[in-house]
Amino acid sequence: MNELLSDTPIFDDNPVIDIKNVSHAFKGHRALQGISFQVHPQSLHGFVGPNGAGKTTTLKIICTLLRPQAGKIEVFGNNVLTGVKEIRKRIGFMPDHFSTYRQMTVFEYLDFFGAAYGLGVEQRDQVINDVLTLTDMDGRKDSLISGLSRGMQQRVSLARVLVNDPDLLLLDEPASGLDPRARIELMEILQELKRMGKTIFISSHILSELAELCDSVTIIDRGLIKYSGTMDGLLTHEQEHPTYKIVLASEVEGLVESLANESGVLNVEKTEKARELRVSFDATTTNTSKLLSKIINLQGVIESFQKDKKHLNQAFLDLTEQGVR
Amino acid sequence: MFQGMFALFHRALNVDFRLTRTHLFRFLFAVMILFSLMMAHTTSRFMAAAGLVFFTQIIYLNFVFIIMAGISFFATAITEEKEEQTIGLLLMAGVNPISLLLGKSLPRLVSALLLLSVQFPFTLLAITLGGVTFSQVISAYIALAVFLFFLSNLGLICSVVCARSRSASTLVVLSLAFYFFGIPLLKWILLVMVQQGWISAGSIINFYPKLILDWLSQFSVLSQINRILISGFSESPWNMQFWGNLIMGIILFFFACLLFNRFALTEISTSPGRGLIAKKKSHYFSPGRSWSNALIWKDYFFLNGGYGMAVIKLCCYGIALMALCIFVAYLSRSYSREEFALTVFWTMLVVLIIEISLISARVFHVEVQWNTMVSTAMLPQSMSKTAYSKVIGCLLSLVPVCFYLSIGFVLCIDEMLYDLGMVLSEPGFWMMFIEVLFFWHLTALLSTYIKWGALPLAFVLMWVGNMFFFFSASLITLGGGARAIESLYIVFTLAMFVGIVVSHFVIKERLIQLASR
Repeated sequence: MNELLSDTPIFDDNPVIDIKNVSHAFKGHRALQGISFQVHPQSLHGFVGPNGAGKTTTLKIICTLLRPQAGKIEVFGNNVLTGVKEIRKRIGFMPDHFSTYRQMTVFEYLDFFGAAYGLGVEQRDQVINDVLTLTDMDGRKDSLISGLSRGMQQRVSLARVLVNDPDLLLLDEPASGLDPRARIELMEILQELKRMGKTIFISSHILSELAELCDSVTIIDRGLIKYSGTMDGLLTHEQEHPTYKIVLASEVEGLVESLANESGVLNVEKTEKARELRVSFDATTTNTSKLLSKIINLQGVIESFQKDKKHLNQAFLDLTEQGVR
Repeated sequence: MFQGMFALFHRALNVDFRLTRTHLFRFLFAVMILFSLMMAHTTSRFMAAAGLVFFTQIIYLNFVFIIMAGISFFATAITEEKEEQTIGLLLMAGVNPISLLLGKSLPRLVSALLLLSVQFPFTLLAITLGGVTFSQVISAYIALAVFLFFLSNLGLICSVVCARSRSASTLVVLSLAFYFFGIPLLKWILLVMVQQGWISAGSIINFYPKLILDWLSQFSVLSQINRILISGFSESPWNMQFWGNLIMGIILFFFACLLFNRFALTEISTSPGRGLIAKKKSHYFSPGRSWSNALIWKDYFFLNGGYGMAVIKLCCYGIALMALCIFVAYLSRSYSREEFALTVFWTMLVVLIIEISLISARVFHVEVQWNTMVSTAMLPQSMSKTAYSKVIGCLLSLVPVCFYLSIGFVLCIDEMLYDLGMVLSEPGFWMMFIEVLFFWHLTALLSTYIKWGALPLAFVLMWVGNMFFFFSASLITLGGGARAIESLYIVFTLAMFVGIVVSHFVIKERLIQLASR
């Protein structure tokens, strides 16, 4: 069963991608086990999971390269089984490996795809100039692709994806194998594309890579969706057992024990700083007002009181299972 | 010292055992032997020396398989490591070059020798069927085994010297062409020179070269097999062909070891080459802007060389045809326009068949090889349209050969039309025509499944298929006359036509599957 842990409504009336109970198996291995989630218009949606979790299979099904064996997928309202052409016209898919004609120059490559998408010569000139400017490849348009660095080749792939001006970009681990500078530059380009109104669906096996970039995230593990919702929701993870960090002006004797005995409080611990407490409670039986009242009653002076955000890696580890796939 | 060799040997045999296709290949071979045996048994009732017929079939079957193994199996021993870029890792792991060469070539040689040896007991049945002696069987297998040894080392040295499997296979083909045809050709040239009076028969220029060529011609396995298959053969198997092939094999291995360090670690490009295509847009050989059907443009220029290659082909074919016609005219003394046209036409028809065969092996394979299928498959068009566009792009490269072909046709149009009228009504012509089409489709299909050797494999399959057909046909139509044979031709032609249609769907589905990998 899927564990859909989201703090925001995840089903929308007009999603760009709508996946419902999709399953897929390869030679007996169940790559996807009834996954469901949505991607909203003009969002930058991260798709995170360990290696072998089913990310690439999901992406290939969304971009119509694979037919799902069960379930339903709609992209811009078109079913992936019946509306292949309509979907392909509106999406751009960048696979996780270089799929470029490396004997071509950058210009020839983009010109080829422009023509393949039915653009006229003048239109192609305009589009190629635009995408080269966006990807900062202006000066390399006559370079052979085989002579470019990995980061540059990745930009060429991204430029190719943009040639048909797609509304939805599907990027399969675009930053893998890139050096830190190239990663940062790629992320900047993606942010620019988001500002331009594109919907971006990006997969990665590193959650922290997408943390600052994405509005929403879906975590997949062993073919099951473990989380789908906002990035903030994943970090605070407040649905069941919220955790708050309380900083006091001075230490209060017996406060930890008193709070621990309070109904609904699950855990109270002092951090490495003596005046700082971390309190987890069951949101169904108690709330923050009761906690604060208790502290004040015990003569505690509160300096700060805030939701304790979990570390990204910890959140990811909590949701995914251990073991080599 | 040989620890690495044993590790490689062990691994190769393990991999060979796990692959289904190797067992399928052996099964196919066994079926063919069984079929030949069955045929021999059936024909033994009304044919003398049925055993010799059976034995001849088996020996030539082996010969063809050995040649194909040399071109594909042996020629890729080292190039596959180069292409995977693992050769440096093996050397770093302490495997020395000799161990590496032995570890890569020995398992292949052993596999091929095993295939020869397992059929040996069955071949002995030829003796009981009559017409063959035990010494003939032994001699034939020794001749084939030693030729196999020579060929494995020829493949090895080509694999060491060449960067890619394709170029290694081409070099093996050229070397084999020289091995089989080079010496007879030189002997023939010498004979012509004597006949024309350019050199005298008793001169040193004729005597010693002739002596050397006669001596060298004894090395040919084909001549040896032909000698063995003559009734009454009773020579020793340890003859010139045996020692010649053995020594040449050892020398080739020695050179492969010597050249290994020079060539093995050469950095090979991980990208396809651009060939003659100019980067400057103003250049004659520039691909310019993409055509409205971009896939046709791409495959014409970047897979087949575009305008530059067309000009080169036009010049090369023109020169070759001119030389051929001058040569034929010189020999025949009287050379009419029709004869000239027929020479051009038939030569270019052969070239056309070869070119299309090469295209069918490459048209889809390159997309798989360079991992570009996924981008092409994402275009908003069906996979069928993508595939047909690619084929059209490749077929455009046939313009030079078609140009000369049409010249030949036009210059003897009356004779051609007359001949066409005759052959079009022949079921045999249509069977041959459809068979060639089927061969191209089969090659294209196989190229999407195997990394190398689709063309030789398709050739072998067609050859085997034909052998089956003609033997079956001769049995079925026994006493049925020409009408029965014609009916069988028509059925076979229709079956192949259905096969062609089916292959279009299978290739399409296979391309979709490859794109989704």
